[in-house]
Amino acid sequence: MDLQGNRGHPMKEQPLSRRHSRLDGESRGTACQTSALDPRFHGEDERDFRRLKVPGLGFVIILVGLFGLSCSQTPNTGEDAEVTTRGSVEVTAELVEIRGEFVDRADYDYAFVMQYKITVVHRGDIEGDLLYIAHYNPQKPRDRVADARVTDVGGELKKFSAGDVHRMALEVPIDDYYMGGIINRYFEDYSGPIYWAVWTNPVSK
Amino acid sequence: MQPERRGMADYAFAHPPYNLLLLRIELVRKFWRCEMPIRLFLTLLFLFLASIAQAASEDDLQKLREEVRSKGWIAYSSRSDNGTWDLFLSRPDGSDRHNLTNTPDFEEAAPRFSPDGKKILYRRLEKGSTIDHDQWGFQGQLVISKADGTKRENLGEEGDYPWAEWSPDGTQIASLTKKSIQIIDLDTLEVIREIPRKGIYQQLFWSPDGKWFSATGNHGGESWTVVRMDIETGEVNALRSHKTCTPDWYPDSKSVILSSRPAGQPGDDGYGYTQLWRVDGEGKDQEFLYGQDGLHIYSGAVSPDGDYLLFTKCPDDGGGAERSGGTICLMRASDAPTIGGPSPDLRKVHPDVNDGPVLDIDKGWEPHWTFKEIVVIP
Repeated sequence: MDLQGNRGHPMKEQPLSRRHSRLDGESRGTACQTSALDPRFHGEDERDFRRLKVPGLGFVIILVGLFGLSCSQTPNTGEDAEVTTRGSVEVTAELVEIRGEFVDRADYDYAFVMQYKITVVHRGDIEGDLLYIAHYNPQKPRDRVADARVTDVGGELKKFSAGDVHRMALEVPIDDYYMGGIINRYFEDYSGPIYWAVWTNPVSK
Repeated sequence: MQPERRGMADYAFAHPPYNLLLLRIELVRKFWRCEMPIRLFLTLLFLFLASIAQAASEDDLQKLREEVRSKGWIAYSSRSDNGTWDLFLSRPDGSDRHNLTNTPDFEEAAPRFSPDGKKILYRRLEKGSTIDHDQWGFQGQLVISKADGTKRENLGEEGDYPWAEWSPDGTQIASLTKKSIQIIDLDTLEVIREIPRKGIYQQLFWSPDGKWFSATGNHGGESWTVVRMDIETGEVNALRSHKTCTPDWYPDSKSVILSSRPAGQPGDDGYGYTQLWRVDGEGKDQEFLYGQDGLHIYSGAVSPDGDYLLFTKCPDDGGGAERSGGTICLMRASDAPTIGGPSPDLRKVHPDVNDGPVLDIDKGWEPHWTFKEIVVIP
């Protein structure tokens, strides 16, 4: 036994360059010829061949599985019993912009106005294709946002990101439904109604 | 070492953050180099001057106490011996203190004298309720009683008549609800007028001349803005924006006292400390009244003659309503601006202050003042 732990196996006795050359067809033939004289060598070669084939096969299976899974899943429309029944307006809309930073104070409750572009109006009458919607304490996941001050908000959305699509139950005007600080960074550009987000679910694009 | 120390001293004396410290070190060194009799003399001189300064300060406080003692009463909420919030009445200097409610089964908070000083309105909460410094006007039940705490009458149910406030003649209350500002007749409890609230969301106060409301609301895209509403037209104008709240009227109805936390303060990792300000009804004339590094100033109120200011100071933002309040203080309006304690950050921004005497009255929250004489039966 040498310092590498080799025990005099025929393969291990071959020069390094020779062992590497077994990966091409010519050298594999040479190896088979050699293996005909030594059954142990033949078995190892098959295992090597399987080592080459099996991971590739697994990869293909996983890919096919994932493809099948993605084909079989229906896209998330955000529809649920809450969003379809709460509020007087229900839309699917793309979050176009979050203007500025959220307030970084855990003890500071506020509503934050964001700009949306409407994709579908499910319920209610809305003019135009842009909506300005205030979300309560936007840094919190919607399923944990309700508190003593605002009890009737929620949803499945975890995080607000521009470009995402949301299905929302809304009320308007906000002053009739929410009483608290509102950060509206569109004040200079827009003077129309601000919608109050009651329920917010994510939608697959 | 000597030249190096001299260089350091030169640098220090040229740089304000270090010059006072270095000056003190030099003085101490010189002091210890003096002969013993001189050291003794200097020590006695220092103690003498310090005692004079202390006596002068105490004398100022005593003068202020005597000045205000007979000027009616203040009502405020404070923790009583049983641990709950009760309403207390005391002379403006803190003497002659009475527990008006003494109810171990309830929490009582935020008393407001009627304009004639004969009644108070306040909120009564279930025992153990935490008073929210922003939401207290929505909490509990509205109670109106005589100013001495007797003849209590509960109005409505839990949460009814939020942010109730006396009309100038005491026959009506205004209430800030989600839908509108309502004016309610106290005899019939009928809503006689509704005004859109225009973004106002808490702390509604009616001016003594009856023409205006002041309150905290959203205005111009900014939250936490103190606004003034013209009651006749419903028009709103901003008085002071950015982290500003708890307004109350001066007796002339031309200005409000309010709490404000200006941006750019270095204290509390940039969060800053809330200060007391006076702002005129147009929002143009803004006067710093009182502040102190390390403490938040809330519960601003003005004496009925406009000569004195009440406020609380507390390390907690919000005035400490959630726990036991802050220290209720009184100062002369003519001593504004005044800064409490060393407050190096605040003194940089306001170098010319009066540093007038400030009385510590009691531990509590939301004091209110009347000149009406009240007979309290112990």
